[in-house]
Amino acid sequence: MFSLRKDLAKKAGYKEKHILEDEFERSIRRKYADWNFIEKQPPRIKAALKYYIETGDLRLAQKIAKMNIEEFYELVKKAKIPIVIIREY
Amino acid sequence: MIASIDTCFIIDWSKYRKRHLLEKIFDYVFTTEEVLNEVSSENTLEYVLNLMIKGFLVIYPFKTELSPIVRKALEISVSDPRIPSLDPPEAYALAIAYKENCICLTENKGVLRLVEYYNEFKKVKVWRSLELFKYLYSKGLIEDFEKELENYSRDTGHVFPKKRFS
Repeated sequence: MFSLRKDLAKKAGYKEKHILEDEFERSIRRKYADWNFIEKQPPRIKAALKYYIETGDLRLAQKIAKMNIEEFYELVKKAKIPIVIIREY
Repeated sequence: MIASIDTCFIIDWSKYRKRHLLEKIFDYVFTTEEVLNEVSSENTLEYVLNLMIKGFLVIYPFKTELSPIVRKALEISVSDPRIPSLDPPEAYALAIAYKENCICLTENKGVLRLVEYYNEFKKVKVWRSLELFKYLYSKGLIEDFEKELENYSRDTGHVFPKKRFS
């Protein structure tokens, strides 16, 4: 339920700030990800990593991958997908 | 000061070169079996068990009292599209912080958004690694804030970009 189109997100009551935050975090994950590594993964893992890049939703991505959270978390790091923590100023 | 902690936070913190600093801030940290069940690597297990042996990481003893809060948080995460997925480990960390009025150590966006959108959870203090580093810096436990964020990034794969949204 997390990744919504911007117009739908607004209708669902998302704060504008959160929509912008999500977009920015997604752009960072896309930029740093090792796409060669991701594309070489088996279909389920590849789908889970892509889902994580797009949504930042670790729990659902982990379920798609059918992996234990620590194993999936390690895989996210092997794929060079960063955990993004924005410093607002 | 007391905290509760979820799985991802403890996995990341176990990799940090100055992980001992957690014990300088908190008297003890609560966790639940749900978190312990998810820890599987040798490094994290060694860190977690060491903290338990020291009596620093403690299994929350009143878990049954948390059930209504956990249920409420999980129901919200399922039904509200603004809230990313929550699973029991982070829901319990949130519930402990709610019940004990302590700090919740998590980077789970579901928890962060739940606290922002729902008045009943607004009182919960959620710290990500960033807030933890700010506190460490304010107490003089780290000397160079930026350098320490860099160290943490290298050790854990986090990034801390600066951005203005308004």
